[in-house]
Amino acid sequence: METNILKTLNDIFISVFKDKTLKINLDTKQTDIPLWDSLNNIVLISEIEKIFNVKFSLDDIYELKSVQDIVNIIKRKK
Amino acid sequence: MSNSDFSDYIKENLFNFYNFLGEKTSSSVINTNFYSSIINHDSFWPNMVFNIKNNTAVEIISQQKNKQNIPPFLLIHSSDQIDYNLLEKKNFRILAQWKGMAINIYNTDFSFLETNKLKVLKLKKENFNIWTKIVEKELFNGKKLDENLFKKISASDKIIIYLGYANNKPVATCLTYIDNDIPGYYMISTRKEYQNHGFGSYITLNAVYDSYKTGYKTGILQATKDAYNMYARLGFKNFDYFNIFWKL
Repeated sequence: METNILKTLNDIFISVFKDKTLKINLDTKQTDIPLWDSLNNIVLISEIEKIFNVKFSLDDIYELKSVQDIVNIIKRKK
Repeated sequence: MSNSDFSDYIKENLFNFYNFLGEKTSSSVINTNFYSSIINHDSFWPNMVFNIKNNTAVEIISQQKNKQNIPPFLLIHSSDQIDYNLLEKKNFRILAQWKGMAINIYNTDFSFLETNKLKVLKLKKENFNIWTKIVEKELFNGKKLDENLFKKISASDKIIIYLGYANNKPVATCLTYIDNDIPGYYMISTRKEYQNHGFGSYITLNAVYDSYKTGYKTGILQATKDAYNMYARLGFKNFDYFNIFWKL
């Protein structure tokens, strides 16, 4: 399940950050991607919510710092 | 002095700073019975809807936003009686949280300044570009700021702008806005390659020390999550928070 989530997430990251070379893994942190600021974080979350059919809470968004955090939230909500 | 007094100082300083920017620069401030807003089309900052009175205000803002009349950013203070479910329903998403902090200037330990690890100077005319570029990159992830806005406000005795030099290189920034004898510290940033060396602490403490020399008793700031511990170590205490929402 985690591998599938990561694969889909990678496609979303490529689309949001418009970088075809982007390769994320569970260790990827917000600070590793220069364009992953708070504004793009919201764009990213909106795409993730659409594709995975989940809803991030205010606390989820506030605490989110890494790909691992995103995967954990998706797994918890699916 | 009670906690709510400090919270009021923190809120008032920020709101009055926005109003001051409206008076002194090309930023437009609108004050209504339901909310206030500041917008500047040449700059990413200070575009914000603030002083949001109630849920009706959220409804009105939500409608206004569709007409592109006001900024997409909403500043909600912890004391505001706003229904967060309504914000979510209106498609506002939380972007960040700022902790409102205040410091007792008279009780502050300024010994860290003896390290002289940074040479801090009041900003000179020819360095506004450098200062703005550092703030733009480090606080706003490269989004454009209006250098002229800072030039204009720097003429006021309510404003002090600092630039910190390490080994003769400009590396850190700070801006003090003084309102009703309360200095507020804003735009505190350090160039990425110079972070984690205490330069942010130093330039902040230097500004607080200037406030001490002038005779001010209380200083305030709004801290991002990443900077919170640094300010706490200097003696700032947390009294409230602001949530910033954005509508996609």
